[in-house]
Amino acid sequence: MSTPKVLEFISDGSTLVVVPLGRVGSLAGEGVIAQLEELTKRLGASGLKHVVFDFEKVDYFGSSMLGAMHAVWKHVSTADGKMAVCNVSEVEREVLQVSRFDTLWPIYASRQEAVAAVSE
Amino acid sequence: MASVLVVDDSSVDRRLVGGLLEKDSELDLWYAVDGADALAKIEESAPDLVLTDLVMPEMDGLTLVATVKNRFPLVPVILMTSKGSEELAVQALQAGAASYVPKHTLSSRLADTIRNVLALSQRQRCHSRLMGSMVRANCTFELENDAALIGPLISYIQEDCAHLNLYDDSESTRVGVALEEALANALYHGNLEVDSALRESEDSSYWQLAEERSKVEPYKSRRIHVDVAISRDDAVITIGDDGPGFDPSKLPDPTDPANLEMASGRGILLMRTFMTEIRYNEKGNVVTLIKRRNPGNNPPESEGS
Repeated sequence: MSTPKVLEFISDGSTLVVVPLGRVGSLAGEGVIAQLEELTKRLGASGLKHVVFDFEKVDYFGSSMLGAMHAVWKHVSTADGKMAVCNVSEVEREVLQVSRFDTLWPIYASRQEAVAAVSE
Repeated sequence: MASVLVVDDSSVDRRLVGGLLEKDSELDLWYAVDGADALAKIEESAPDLVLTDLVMPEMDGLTLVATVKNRFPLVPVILMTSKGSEELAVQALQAGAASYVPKHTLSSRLADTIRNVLALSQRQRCHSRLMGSMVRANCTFELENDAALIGPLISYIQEDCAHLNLYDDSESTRVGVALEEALANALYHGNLEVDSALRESEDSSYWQLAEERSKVEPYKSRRIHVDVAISRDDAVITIGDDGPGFDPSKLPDPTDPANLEMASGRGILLMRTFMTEIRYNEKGNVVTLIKRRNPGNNPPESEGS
């Protein structure tokens, strides 16, 4: 089984922006997990406290991505950070709402708004 | 006779193209002076093919290609490229142009290129008409435990649903999410018997176990059985595995805040949310997913031509 790169990381002040790329449905879980370690290392780096998941480049995600986001959120909340989500499609919003994760991670229209909100 | 709309702001180039193509009595030539003029003519009556310059005032060739591709997907566009417009030509090809001919080779290549593109376009139109005549699609798959086969299977089912005009794009994505969850369950939890509790860890133990089991018996010989029945009223997809089954009623409610940390049940929650109905057999190794037609989507009508 191959593990293609499915997440891109961008630092923005004290926030790590995570941009899922391509397919991140339930079959991409292995690729997501393979990059989780890198993500948590970056979070441990000085100054990075918050996380924003920017879904601009994908139309949907499934339970695997939710699981990965939850794992990241545990790191973020332990360090007193905040996590948010932005640029979601109609279907992605429904996935977050039906799983109730929208109660943990606020949804914003743009990356700029999300980064500003978690950095407050 | 095939109609060809020639789009060029240069009257000299229009005459040149006209002179080259008028020898072919099978072509009915129309002319437009830029993209905006071309679009007005296409809206009035769609030609069989558009042959366009790239650099023009009002609306350039790139915008014209994108607009035609979006609004008239069965009308192919051929580009005429000049030295210096190569980058724009690449963008236009990415936007959906069917082919291109450098202007300095028009006399030797244009007629053949038009003939080839028209022949391909004719086949695509016939295929589109044939698919529009589809009333029911039934097929059965037996998949190895290979996740790489699942994406193409979902695309195949989504395409058949599109031929029967069951849903809009957004609904098609929802069906795709539900099918992906169901197929991933059949593969990983059903046939390979990998417990979803392993997914709660942050390491790759879940995927490593799946990889190991996919190579040994009894897991290796197990198959995913997929029956697809799509009509003008609904899509019924039955997905079975050769695993021991499970009791879906014993899954934790993933919407209960106390269970937010648990990976179990999220996939089935999404399946229930995005399909009209899902039901399991008694053993719990076969799930039937049903999606009724979107009320706003009418059955396809046969095209006249």
